[in-house]
Amino acid sequence: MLTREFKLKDFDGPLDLLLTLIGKAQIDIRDIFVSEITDQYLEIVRNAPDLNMDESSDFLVMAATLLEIKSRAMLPKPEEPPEDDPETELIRRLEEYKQFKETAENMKSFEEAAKHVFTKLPEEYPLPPQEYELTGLTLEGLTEAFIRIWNRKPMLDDNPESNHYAPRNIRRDVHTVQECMLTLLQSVKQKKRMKFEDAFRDAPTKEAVVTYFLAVLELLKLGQMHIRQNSVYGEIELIYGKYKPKKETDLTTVAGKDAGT
Amino acid sequence: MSEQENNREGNVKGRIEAILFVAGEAVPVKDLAKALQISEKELTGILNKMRDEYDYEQRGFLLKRFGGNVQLATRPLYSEDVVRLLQPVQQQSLSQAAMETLAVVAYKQPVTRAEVEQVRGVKCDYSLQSLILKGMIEEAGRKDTIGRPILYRTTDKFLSHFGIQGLEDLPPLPENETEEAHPDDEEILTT
Repeated sequence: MLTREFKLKDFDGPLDLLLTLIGKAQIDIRDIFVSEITDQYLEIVRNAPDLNMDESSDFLVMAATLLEIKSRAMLPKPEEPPEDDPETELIRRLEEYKQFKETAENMKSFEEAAKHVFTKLPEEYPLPPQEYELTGLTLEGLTEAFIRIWNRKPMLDDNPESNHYAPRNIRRDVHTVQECMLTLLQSVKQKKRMKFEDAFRDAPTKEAVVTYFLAVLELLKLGQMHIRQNSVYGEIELIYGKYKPKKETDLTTVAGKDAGT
Repeated sequence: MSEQENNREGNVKGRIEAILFVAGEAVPVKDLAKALQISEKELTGILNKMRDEYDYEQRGFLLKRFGGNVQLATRPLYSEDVVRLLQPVQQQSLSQAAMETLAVVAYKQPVTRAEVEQVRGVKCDYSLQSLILKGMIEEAGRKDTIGRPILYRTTDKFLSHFGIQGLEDLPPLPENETEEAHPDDEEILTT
């Protein structure tokens, strides 16, 4: 049976399917409604096994249009066919689509011909080396200058108001608490314990320090690590894992669970 | 043409070849004229001569012209030889759906997505998007209608991909036999 050979997914939409059926039957587009094409079309759509809404909605709209045209044909015809007669409109669309389908075919031969024309990439040639004037410069002088610049950087960072009227870029957060938590957890897991100060080793700006501090608090709260200070003003240590009390009297140890509160 | 003028023209041809060889990519004729300090009109004349000379002598190069650009490319006649020794990057062919969508855009531009879909009878957002990514089409402003939909047009790369100089080189749309005249039903029956 003819309709069994056709699968909706092989066609670029309902117009494509209709044109193929017309081509197969070797009839003129204008004769579509006095042929069996519309019945074939409806049968193919009806028998489509996997009617996926996304792919087949266009086919269904066409099916509805065909049915409308067929049912109209049974009614007595008005003396003058209206301008927007769906039958005329469909034939017009089919003819137009056929034009472009054929043109696409022609364009393919152009494309094929152009494939045999090769071009090359632009030459890469090195720019002449730049020359610098370095008279009177010592390594010490360079170091000094660099340190001056280096020291100036945090000043701007610390005090954005100093540049109040200049336009400023609003940057995306470089450090997120999540990221810092991961970094911290990795290093504390590796070392089992680390100094509180060391947690901020990777924090060059105030913003980063704050973020890392929030990360420490968050990790304590989650019980991923706990914290210990052996004497007042003594060194604070971060220790991997949940706090397990050995003695009830160990008051200097703060349980991770409480630290976040 | 005097000998002096002949020399000068030969000199310009050499300069053009040198620039196009290093550039590799397409060079806008406008920029080339500026670099050579001659008028665009004069340059176009010389480029036409060069193209004809190359073609006549079946040189390995040809002058590829598209949009307002000129590019040094190899002659298709020798493509087999090129491929035998080197493995040049072959340009990818477009899929059937992309080709149809592109045909509609090329002939109806500037055109909206809805207009393309109306012709093809299927959704075209995917094929339009992939054509944009491939550089074949680009946005060309918005249509002054409800919703101000985006208009699309073809690019210079499109011309290059199909080896044509301008849109006027596109093959004419095939005529629909039935469109020319409106024969009566009787006539159809007799044919």
